[in-house]
Amino acid sequence: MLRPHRYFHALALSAALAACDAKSSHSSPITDPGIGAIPPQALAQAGHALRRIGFGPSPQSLQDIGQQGVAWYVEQQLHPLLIDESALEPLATWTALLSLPQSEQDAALLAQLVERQFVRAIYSPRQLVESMTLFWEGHFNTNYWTVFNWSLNGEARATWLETRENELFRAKALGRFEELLRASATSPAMLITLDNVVNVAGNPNENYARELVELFTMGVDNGYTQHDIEELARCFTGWGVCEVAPADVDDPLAACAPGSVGATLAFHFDASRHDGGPKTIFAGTDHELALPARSGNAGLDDGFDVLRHLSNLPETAGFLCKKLARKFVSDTPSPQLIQVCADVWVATSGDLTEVLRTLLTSADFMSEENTWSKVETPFESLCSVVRALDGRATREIELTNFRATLELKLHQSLFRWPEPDGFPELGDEQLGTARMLGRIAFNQWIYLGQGDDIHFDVANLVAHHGAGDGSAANVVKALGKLLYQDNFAAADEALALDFLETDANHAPLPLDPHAGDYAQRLKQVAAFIASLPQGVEQ
Amino acid sequence: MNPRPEPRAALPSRRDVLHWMSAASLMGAAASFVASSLATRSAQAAAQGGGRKLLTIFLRGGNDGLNTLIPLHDPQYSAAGVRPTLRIPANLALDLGTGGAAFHPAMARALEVFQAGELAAVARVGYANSSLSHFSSQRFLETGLPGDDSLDEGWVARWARVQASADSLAAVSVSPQVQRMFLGPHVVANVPDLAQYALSADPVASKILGSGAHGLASSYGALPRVGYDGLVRRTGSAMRESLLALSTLPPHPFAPDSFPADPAACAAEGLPSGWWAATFLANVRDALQILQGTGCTIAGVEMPGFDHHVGQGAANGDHAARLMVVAHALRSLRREAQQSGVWSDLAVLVVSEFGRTSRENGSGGTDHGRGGVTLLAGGSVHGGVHHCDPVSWPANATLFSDANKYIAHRTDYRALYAEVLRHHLLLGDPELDQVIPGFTQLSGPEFQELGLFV
Repeated sequence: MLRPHRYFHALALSAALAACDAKSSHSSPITDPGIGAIPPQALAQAGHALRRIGFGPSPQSLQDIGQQGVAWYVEQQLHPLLIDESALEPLATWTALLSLPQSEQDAALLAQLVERQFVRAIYSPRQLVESMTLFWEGHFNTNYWTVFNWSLNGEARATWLETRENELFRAKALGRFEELLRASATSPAMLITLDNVVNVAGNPNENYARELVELFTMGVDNGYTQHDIEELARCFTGWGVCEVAPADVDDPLAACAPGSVGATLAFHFDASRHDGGPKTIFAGTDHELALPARSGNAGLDDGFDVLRHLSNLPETAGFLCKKLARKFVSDTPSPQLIQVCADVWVATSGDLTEVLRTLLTSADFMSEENTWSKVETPFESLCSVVRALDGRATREIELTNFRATLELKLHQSLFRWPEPDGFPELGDEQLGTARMLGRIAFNQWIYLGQGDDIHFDVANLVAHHGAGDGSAANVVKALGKLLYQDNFAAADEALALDFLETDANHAPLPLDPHAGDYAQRLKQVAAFIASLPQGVEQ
Repeated sequence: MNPRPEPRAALPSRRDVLHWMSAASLMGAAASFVASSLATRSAQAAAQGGGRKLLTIFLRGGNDGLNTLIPLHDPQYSAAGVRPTLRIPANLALDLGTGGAAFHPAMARALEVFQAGELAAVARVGYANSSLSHFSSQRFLETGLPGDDSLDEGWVARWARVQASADSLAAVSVSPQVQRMFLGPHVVANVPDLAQYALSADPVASKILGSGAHGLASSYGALPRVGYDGLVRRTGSAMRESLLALSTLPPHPFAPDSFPADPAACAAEGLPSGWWAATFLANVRDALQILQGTGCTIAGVEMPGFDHHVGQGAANGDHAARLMVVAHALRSLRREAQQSGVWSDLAVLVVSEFGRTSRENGSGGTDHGRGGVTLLAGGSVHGGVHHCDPVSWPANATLFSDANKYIAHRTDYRALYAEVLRHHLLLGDPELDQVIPGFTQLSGPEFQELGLFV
């Protein structure tokens, strides 16, 4: 098959993508005060909701939510299929390579998978779906390199399998937890990462069983014993992977066809390796699960029965609700909120749309004490700067600087976290001097990197959001509002003005909107404001 | 967890390399100003701690202690059905001549440190009721308080806080993710890669960082707002200070074979050729450079990949490969630190969250266990082997002494930390009780001092 060349598609993309969720704010007439017209409280609330639900406010999304309210936005985000994503269509073309069959992939495409996640997070109007996709990537963490090293043709397969997981997590992001758990458990990347591929009757391997209860469902030391882990491991004996014909990738009972044309690594159940005896998990507790002896392919149901049982346990509801509340509300969520959420989980059998509605419409979500109370992940912080400053992917849309900064300077490598627990969730675990430095290094590209990766037109942007006169004071105010809404104090404003209107020796250097260096100086002050401490917070 | 070698995480393109190569470290008047004040502070720090230095190496995933320090005198180790494919034959093991213990054959490079009497190996290290969870057990080793999931502050961060050191380089986590040992309200530097610890050099960068009442310097010093804001600002200050101080660090003087920097160079030294090995050795190199060139007292590196549920290997294989890299690092640290005259002041502590099951599992590996092995090397270390001899390790009664699966612990890991803190970093008991909560109140054989320092 003739492989389409990535640059061809990229260059064909003459229309730049804008960080607006519907239309570009640049299309507004110059008299439109932009976000300057939104009352301060509405602006602050919109900013908070956008930072927590997605990847930060863009000018257009601030205007939309500023007018229609947070409740409207939450409800919109909970129905992603009704949100028009057609503006992202060029992306689908760009990432067409990721749709190649497994047998035709290669390692270079991992970069493309990372870049696609960047572009989706920045530009997709389905912000909650993208947030939850990454939440599930972290919760059900698998490591690209594990598959890479495990398999022949590992380079090709690892990207394909990580891409498939990414697409499943996106498709099921707001669905039922059991479906997500099942998608993860049967994903070859997970079967390989946590050793179910070598889990065999008589000599069970407990690696997956332990993390299934500790990390994926109940939480550590929360209602299970070492004996339960050993019983659980027996349930997953016979689970593994093999090469099948491309048409059989979703059939674990299909015949293996190693080496055949288009052979694809897929989930496979081998009844001869399964322990068919009866099993009792959580014996003697109120959540005991007794499974009968099962022979042949019926043994596959042991694992599925376990996944269904675990999905609906109150322990699982509490553990997942706490984790979700930490993501969306606070690193230290109230026990009451977790309980209300867990009750909804149990009542709806883990329907995430309902669970998320409970969290996002709670009083805690918008409360004063929970605003600006969290730390952005490195990935979120890069996306939020681009969204706030309406950066546009131009030219190649090859986000090399993004990826390099994220991986080499901010030390977050998507799809490659080496341990099964996923990237750290809590603010104090993520903060470090290297990441503080890396964020500033990224912001430097606002003024250094014109025409490369993402294009920032700061002068045009602030002109449309309250700084039409080009005065230094209004430029700084507009950038403060775009980036931080209510969290831009007089002291920040004074520091930014000092930066903008003095030279390297702190001698006065007035800003002249008609001078040739005007646009460049605005980019520099934007980089400075984006580097303020609250640029790391959300 | 991944038991196999991992190539380097990032995928830099040619364009990245050009960008990063042009990213020289920061220059300018601000750098030299801060550097001079930092030199003064480093001198003070050196006076306080006597110039003593500590490097921690965390083997993540649970290192198989039984195949690291092998109890040759215990026939149960070689008994049928215990370790059919993982057993190291006696003729391959490196007998340490202590009446029982031998190193894994891949650790040959550490023999010159052991034979110099500068490497101590302690068998059966753990803690009571130890957790089989990686994440809980790593947390307990890093906070210094077993069994308490609520303590977040790491013991190294607490040491820095107790010292009331204002030097952000007093302790440095040389790792991509700040290791929990180094996490706490008292912020210390995190330098995953010295060469990358820089901004693109242009005048605007200096202006952004600022100084005095200007730029981020002013903002970092301002009163905190809500949430994590105080921690963010302290982290910013530590970042700015460590960036400026490290920008004046001279290029490293190390021999090329000490810390081979890429897979090809590793292969040329007979080391595993994965990026994981080169990255680890680069971290060790950066840590030594920071320890030697600044007031840093404690630096920490880590190596993932010890969770060998599958395909662990015996004399060869993945576990052997990782042990070889650790042994190479110990030898290089000794050679280089001797060369620069700091070996007598340096201690290197190698820990892991737990040992592994004594019996091999069905997939050529081992599962999470309890008692494991800790190593301590240094010019002032009293070398030798502890608790792996016929008297303290009863034959046929030790391999399955805990729950009929695991090796029961004989020494609590906190006793080893305490010995390092007391005798190497010269900490008094009141401070020790803060760094290792309530340590002096603990009693029993597992808290005995082993005499690890001369």
